[in-house]
Amino acid sequence: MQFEQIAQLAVAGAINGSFYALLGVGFGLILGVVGRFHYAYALTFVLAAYIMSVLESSLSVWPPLAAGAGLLAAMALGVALERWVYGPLALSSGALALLTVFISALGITIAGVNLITLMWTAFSRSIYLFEVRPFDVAGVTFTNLDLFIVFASWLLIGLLTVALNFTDLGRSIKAVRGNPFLARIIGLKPDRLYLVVFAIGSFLSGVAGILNGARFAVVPNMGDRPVVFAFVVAFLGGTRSSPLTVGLAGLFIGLVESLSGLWVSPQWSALVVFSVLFIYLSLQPTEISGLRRWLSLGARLRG
Amino acid sequence: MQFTNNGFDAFCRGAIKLMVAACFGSLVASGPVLAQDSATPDQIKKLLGIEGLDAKALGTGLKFQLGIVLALTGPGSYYGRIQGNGAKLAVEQIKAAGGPDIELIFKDHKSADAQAGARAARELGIARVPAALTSYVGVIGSMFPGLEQYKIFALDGGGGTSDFGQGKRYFWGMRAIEPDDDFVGALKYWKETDPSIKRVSMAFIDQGPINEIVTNNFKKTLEATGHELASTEVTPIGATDYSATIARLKATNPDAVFLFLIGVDPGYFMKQYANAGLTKPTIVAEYVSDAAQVAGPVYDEMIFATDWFDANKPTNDWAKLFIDSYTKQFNLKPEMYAANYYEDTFAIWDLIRRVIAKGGDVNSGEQLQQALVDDPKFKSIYGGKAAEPGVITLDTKTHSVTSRPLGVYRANKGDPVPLAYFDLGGANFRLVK
Amino acid sequence: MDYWIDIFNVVLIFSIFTISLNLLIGYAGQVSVAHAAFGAIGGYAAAYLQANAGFSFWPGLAAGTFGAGLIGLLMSLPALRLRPEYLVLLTIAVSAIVLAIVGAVAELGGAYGITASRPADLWPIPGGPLLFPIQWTLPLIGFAAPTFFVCWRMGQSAWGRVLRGIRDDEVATRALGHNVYIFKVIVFSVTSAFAGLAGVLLFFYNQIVSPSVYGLDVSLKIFAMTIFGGLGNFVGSILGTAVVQLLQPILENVVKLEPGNAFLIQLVIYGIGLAILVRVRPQGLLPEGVSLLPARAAERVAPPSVRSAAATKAVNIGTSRPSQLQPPTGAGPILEVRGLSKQFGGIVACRDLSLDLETGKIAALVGPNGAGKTTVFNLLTGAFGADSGSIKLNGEELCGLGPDAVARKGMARTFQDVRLFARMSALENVMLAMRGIEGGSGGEKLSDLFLHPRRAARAERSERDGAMEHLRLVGLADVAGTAAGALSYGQQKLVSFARLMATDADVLLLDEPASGVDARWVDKLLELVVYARDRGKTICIVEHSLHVVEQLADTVFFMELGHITAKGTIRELTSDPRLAEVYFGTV
Repeated sequence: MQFEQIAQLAVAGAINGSFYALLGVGFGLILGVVGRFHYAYALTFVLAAYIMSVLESSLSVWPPLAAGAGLLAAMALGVALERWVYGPLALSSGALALLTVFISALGITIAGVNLITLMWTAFSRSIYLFEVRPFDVAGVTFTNLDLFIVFASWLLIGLLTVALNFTDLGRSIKAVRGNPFLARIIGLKPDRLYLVVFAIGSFLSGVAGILNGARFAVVPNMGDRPVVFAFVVAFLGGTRSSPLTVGLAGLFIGLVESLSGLWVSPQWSALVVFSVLFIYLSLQPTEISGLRRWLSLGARLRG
Repeated sequence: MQFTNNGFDAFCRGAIKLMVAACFGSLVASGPVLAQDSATPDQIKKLLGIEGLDAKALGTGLKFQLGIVLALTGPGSYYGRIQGNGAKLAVEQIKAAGGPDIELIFKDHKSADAQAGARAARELGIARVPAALTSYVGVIGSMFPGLEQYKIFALDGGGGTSDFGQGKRYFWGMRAIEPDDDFVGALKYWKETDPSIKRVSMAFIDQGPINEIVTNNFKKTLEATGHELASTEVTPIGATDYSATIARLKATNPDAVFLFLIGVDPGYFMKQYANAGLTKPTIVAEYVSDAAQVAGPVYDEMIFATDWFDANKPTNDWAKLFIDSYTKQFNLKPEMYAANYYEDTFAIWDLIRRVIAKGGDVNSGEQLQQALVDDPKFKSIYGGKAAEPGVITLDTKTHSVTSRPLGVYRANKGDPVPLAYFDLGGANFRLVK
Repeated sequence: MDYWIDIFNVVLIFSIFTISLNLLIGYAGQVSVAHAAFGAIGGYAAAYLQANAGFSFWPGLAAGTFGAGLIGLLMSLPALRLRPEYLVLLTIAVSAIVLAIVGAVAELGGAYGITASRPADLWPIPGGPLLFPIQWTLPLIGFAAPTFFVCWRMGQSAWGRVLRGIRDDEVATRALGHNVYIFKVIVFSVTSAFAGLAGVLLFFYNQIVSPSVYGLDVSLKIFAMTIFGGLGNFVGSILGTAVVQLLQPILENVVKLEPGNAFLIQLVIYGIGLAILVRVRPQGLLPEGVSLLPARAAERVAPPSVRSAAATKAVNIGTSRPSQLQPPTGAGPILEVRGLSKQFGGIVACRDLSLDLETGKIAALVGPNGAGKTTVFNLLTGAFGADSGSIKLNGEELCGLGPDAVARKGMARTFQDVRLFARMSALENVMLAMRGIEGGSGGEKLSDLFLHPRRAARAERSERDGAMEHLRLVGLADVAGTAAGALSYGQQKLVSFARLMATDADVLLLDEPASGVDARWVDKLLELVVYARDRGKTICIVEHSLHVVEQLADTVFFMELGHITAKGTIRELTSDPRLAEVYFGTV
C-alpha cells in the first residue's frame, strides 16, 4: 500500500510539476530577457482559457481552432502590454522600471480579471480537448489528459531550448538576454525581440491556461495561484538559465508539493513546499549586492 | 444549465451591459424595472396570513435599510449575485404587498476576505443600518464583533451558523448545521439502501478549531448508524487539485465517502475521484449548478444531502409563487441560495411587523432581535403544504434553526430528484418511494 | 462623516506598513513582499495572547511588535546574505509559510481566525474601550507619527546614509568599512517590528485576525502603495497609501451602479486607475528628495552653511584622530603579504604571491591585462577570500576578514569603475566614508540618534565639515551638493579619492586612478597621491600609464599570470630586456 501511494503521489507530483515547469519557463523568459515583472502573466493565462471555452462551448468551434484563437488572444494581449504599457512605462521610470511595471501589471490584472467576470460571470466554464480516459498502471492512476499535459509541457520546453540554441532568432534572444547593449551594437533590435519574447511567453502561459482549464475548470481567478508558482519556479530555476533548468525547478516543486501528502494532510502542503524552498535558499552561497543589481535587471535593458 | 448553453448570449449581454454601464452609468443605477403580477401581492399577503392588516401594521411607506453582505467579486461572485437576486425579488414583492420600502445596502466581502467583512460590518454600523443579511457564516466570523458592537441584527442564509457561529450575539443562522445535519441523513440513507457499506470516510474543508467538533459528531453518528470510521481527510478551502486526498482515500479504501466541500469544490473532487478509478459511493453536502459544469458527466448521477431547495417540487404555494416570479424575472431557475435570501428578507419584514405591533422602533437591531427571541418562528418557502407555507424555527441559545427540511437527492443531469427526506439531526428519515 | 473617518483610520494603519516598508526598500534597497505576513505575526500574537492569556492592549501590542521584530531578525540572518532576486523569493516563501501556519493551526482558528474577546482599551490612558472609528483616530495618529519619526530619523541620518549606500552599491559601502550585514539585519528587524505593530493595530481595530487580512495580495498592495508613493520618501508613502486606499471608497460613492455589477466595475476602474497613476508618476507621487515643502528639499542637497564652512578651518585632514600606526620611521613594511593564492574553478588567479608595502611609500603594481592585479586588490581587501597565504597589516593578520573589517583595520581602496553612489551628492559620498572605521560614531550609532540627538547632530556637523574639507582638498567644494552621478568622470575620480582619504585608512589601494581621466585632471590626481603619501599614507596603485607610474612609484611590482615576477624601480624594470618585450615594449 505504501509503495503504491508513493508512486501515485509521485505521478501526481510529476503532472503538477510539468505544469509548473511550463508556467515558470514562460514567465522566466520574459523576466530574464525583457526584465519585466509581468504579473499580468495571470491575465494571459486566464484569457486564453476563456476565449477557448467561450468559442468552443457557445459557438461550437472546433476545439483546436478555438485553442488557437485563445492562444492568439493571449499573445496579442502580451505583446500589446509590452508595446503600449510596459515599454513606455519602463522608459519613463528608469531605474525603477522593474517595480513600476509590476504595479502596472498588478492593476491591469485586477482590471482584466474583473472585466472577464463582468462579461462571463464567475460561473465555472469548462474546456473540452478530447475524451478524458483514466488509466491504471499497477495501481497508479492518471488520465490521458494528464499524459498530454506532461507531454505538451516538456515538448514546448524542449522546443524552446532547441530554438534558443539553434536558431538565429533564439541566439539573438540569448544575446539580448546576455547583454542588450552589446546586442544593439551588433545590430540586433532589442525592442522588436522583446515583443517576440512576450509573444512566446504569453503563448506558453496561454497553453498552460488552456491545459489547466481542461484539467480543472475555467474561472476568472484561475490565474492567481499559478502566477505565484510561475514566479517561484522562474526565480528558483534562475532567470538566465536554460528553459530546461527552469523546467526542472518546476518539476521539483511539483514533486515536493505532492509527496508531502505522504506525511501531512493537504492543507499543510504549501507549508512544506515553502519551507523546503526557504531552507534551500538559506543554504545558498552568499552573494552580496543590493537593490542595484536587482533593479539593474530592468535597467540594463534600457538605452 | 441555461447559462452555458447560451454562452454567446451571455457574452453579448455582458459586452452590452458593459458598454451601457460605461456610457450611461446613471441610467443603469436605477436598476431594471421589475415586472410585477398584480395578483401576487394579494396572494402573498394571504399566504403569510396578513391580509387583514392595515397599512400601518404592514409598514407601508416605511423606509428601512437592510444591509446585505455578499461575495460580489472574486470566485464566489456568481452565487453572490444569485443571493442578491433572491433578496431583490423579495424587496419588490414586499413593497408591492404594502410592506416597507426596503433599501438593500450591498457590501462586497470579496469572497471571504475577513478585512472586507469587518469593514462591511463597521460601515453598516456607522450608517445605523439595523439589520443585515450576511453570507459565508458572517464572512467567516469577521463580522461578529461589528454586529455585536453596532447591534446589527443579522440573518445568514448562506452558511448558517455552522458549528462555528453558534450563539454569537445578533447573529442567526437560517440553514441546517453544515455538514453535521447533512451526514446524518447521508449515513441513514446508506444504511437503508446499501448494507454492504461498513467503513466510511469523510473528506471535509479545513475549518480550524471546528474540525474536531465535526469529526466527533461524525464519529457519534457513525456509531448510531452502525458504520465504522475509515478515515477523515481535511482539505483546504478552495482547492482544485485533490490528488493527495484521493491517493490517501485510495490507500484507505473505504466503502463510501462523505464529502463536505463547498461551492464548486466538490465538482473538482468528483471528477478526479472518478479519474482515479474510484467507484465507491459518495454523498456530497452541497449542490450548486456550476459544480456540475466543472465535473462534467461524473456529476450526472452524483448524490447530495443537504437542506436543498427543490425548484421542481415546490412544497407550498408560496414556494411555487417564488419559483414562478424568480424564473420570470431572472430567466433562471432559482437555486437554494436565491431561495434562502428571498425568504430571509421576508423574515425581516415579519420582524418589522412585530416591532410595529408592539409600538417599538423598527430601526433598532435590538428590538428586531427581541421580536425574534419572543417568538422564534417564521413562515418559510421550505416545507409546508399547499396554501400553508412551511415554518422555520430557531433555537434562541444556539441561534441556529431547529426545524428545516432536508433531503438526499440524485443530481439527475442537473435536474435533481429526491431519494429521501429527513429533518434536522436525521429525524423522521423517510425514503422516497 | 464616520464613514470617511473609518477610511482615514485604515490609511493611518496602512501608512505604518508603507512607511516602514519604504525604509526597507527605498533606503536599504531590500525588496520584501512579506510585509503583511509580519503584520500577521504581530496581529496573531496579540490575538492569541488576548484569548489565551488575557493580555490587554499594551502587553499585546508589545508582544506583537517584538514578536514580529524577532522573527524578522531570525529570518534576516539567512535572507540578507542572498542575491536580491532570491531575497524576494525568500520573502514570498516566508509569507506563504506564515499564512499556511496561521491558516492550518487549529489553535489559531484556521480560516476563521481569532475574534477579539473584548475591544481595545488604552488604559492607563483614559477614554475607555475604543469602539467607534472616531475614538481610534487620535490613538492611531499617536502610533503613525512615531513610526514616521523613527523611520525618518533612521533614514535621514548618517545611519540612513549607509542604508542608501547599501542600496546604491553594496560593495562600495562595504569597502568603506561599513558592516552592511549588521545594517541590513537591523533595518529588516526594525521594519518587521513596525509591520508587526501595524498588524496588531489591525487586529484591535477590526477585532479579528484571520489569514485573509494578511494575505499575499495584501503584501502586494502594500508594496504597490509604497512604490507608488515614492521610494525613499516617507511623506510619499503616506500619500501613496491614501490615494490607493481612497480609490475604492471614492469609486463606491461616485460610480453608483446596479449593485450586482457595481463592485466588479469599481474593481475594473481601480485596476486601470492603478496602471494609469503609475504611468503618470513613474517615479512615485513624491520621488526621493522631493518634498511638499520646497525649503526642505533645498536643504538636503545644499552645500554646508557658511557657519560650518568657517568651522572647517579647525579640521585637519587625515589627522582628525590619532593615526593607528606609529609615526613612520621609514623602516619596515606596514603590509606584509606572503604566499597568497587563489583559484577560481581551476583557473589560477593568484599564485604564491608575496609583497611588502613600505610605510609612507608609493608602490605600483603593473603587468599585462589579465595578470591579476585587480584580483590582488580584491584579495588584499577581503572582497575575495584567499585560498592560502597571509596578509599582515602592522603585524595583524587580515586574511579571513571581510572588506568592511579590512577597511576598519586601516586598508581601503578605490575601484577601477569608481563606484560612487550616483544618487547621493558628492558631499554625502565623502561623508559616508567618514563612518564605520571607528565602528560607528555619532549619528551612525542608533542609540545616539534617539537618545542623544544633540551628540548625533554634533557628530553629523563635524563630519559634514570634515567631508567638505576633503572635497576642498580635491578642489570640488563647489560641486559638493551635486549628485555624484551628474559629475564628469574626472570629477568622479576625484570624489572617489576624497572618499578614500576620508576613510582615514593608513594603506590606500588605488585601482587605475588615472585611467579614462582627462589630462588636466591627471596632474591633479598625481599631486593628491603625493600629498597623501606626504601625510604618512602608504599607497599602492595599479596603473597602466607608465607616465603615472614613473612619476609616483618608489617601488614597482611586475605581475604576470597571478605571480610577481620582478620588483624594483621603474628604471630597473624597463631596462630588463625580457619585461620590455613582454610588456613595456608594447606600451
